[in-house]
Amino acid sequence: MGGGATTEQVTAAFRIILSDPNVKGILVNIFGGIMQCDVIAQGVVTAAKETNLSLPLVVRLEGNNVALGKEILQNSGLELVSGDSMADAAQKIVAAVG
Amino acid sequence: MSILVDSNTKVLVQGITGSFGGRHASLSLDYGSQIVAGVTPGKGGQRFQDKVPVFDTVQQAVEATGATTSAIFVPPPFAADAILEGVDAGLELVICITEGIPVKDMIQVKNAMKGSSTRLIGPNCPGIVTPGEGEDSKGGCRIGIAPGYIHKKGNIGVVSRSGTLTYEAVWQLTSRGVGQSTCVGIGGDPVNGTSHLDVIKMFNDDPETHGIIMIGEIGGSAEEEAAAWIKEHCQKPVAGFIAGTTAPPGRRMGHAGAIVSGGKGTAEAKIEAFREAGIHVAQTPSEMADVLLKAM
Repeated sequence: MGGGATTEQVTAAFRIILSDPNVKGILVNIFGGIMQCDVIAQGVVTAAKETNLSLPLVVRLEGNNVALGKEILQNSGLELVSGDSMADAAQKIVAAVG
Repeated sequence: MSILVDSNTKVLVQGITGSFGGRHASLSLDYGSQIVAGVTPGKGGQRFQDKVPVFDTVQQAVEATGATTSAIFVPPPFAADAILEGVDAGLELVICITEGIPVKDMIQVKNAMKGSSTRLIGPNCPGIVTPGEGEDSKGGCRIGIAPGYIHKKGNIGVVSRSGTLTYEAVWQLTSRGVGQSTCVGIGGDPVNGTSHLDVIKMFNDDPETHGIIMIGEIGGSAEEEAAAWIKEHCQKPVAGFIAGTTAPPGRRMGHAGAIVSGGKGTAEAKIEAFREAGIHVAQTPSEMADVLLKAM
């Protein structure tokens, strides 16, 4: 998405990805400099709810506001898997889509 | 020792009164960086967070505070001018964070800077961090937008066109108990002020830098030029990663400078140049630290 994305842009990104019927799962990998982890987390939560996401979702967050971002994800009630690193998140999404 | 900036560096922020500049000036202050002034034309006389005086011009800020370095958080239509204002005021270092400056503006900036003693880093870069000795590496100098907590004071130099991959490399090192001397983001634009090679020469001369990670991407020939010099002159082990192995030709991949154009600037050519030069190549971004540490 590029640095500086808003919640609305995250949701739009999800819609674009989900409009492709070949997509089997979503990996969100963010290391936030410009991007703030809480903004991305809020965007992911909003996007997943608005699109009624039923595909596997793995989210890896690191960087500015990471604690707040992880808290938002944990309290969202969404079924999602957390990745601890880029490699870990990649392995988890591959495993989740089988 | 580090390169370019340290805990003594006096920094002014052009664009401190904007939300982006203000947020990151605040984070830099928290980190312990010496943000001594802000510059926004028309807002001279204000104080940022009651701590930092704001001036109308860079010249005024320099005269009042002795700042030697500027961080530019100014929107693209005005950013080239902001760079030149810093150069005219005789700053040692100008670090331009702004993404989206027209290439033509940057060509004019580079021309105007010929013969100047000011160094420009960026534009479209995340800035520079020299980590400190405090908790979460506070007490050093953070200029730009990088998350501070991921750093640790130590002996590895990091130089990169990608902001995010800089943070990945830094975090991998810190997570393995290995610190950094200085981390430099040179940015993703096709025309910029400082190249990989410029920074690697500084790392080579810095007694506190013992190893180097360099991160490049498709587009241009900066990595090849650095590799050729490294082969002949670099005294320290270098690990490298090139992003964009799967990029389709002719497609600009995010960064303005990240494009394979006319068959040139491919990831394959850069990786080959790395191998030729004895640079240790990380196949994925997750291995950058491990590849360097194995070589050291």
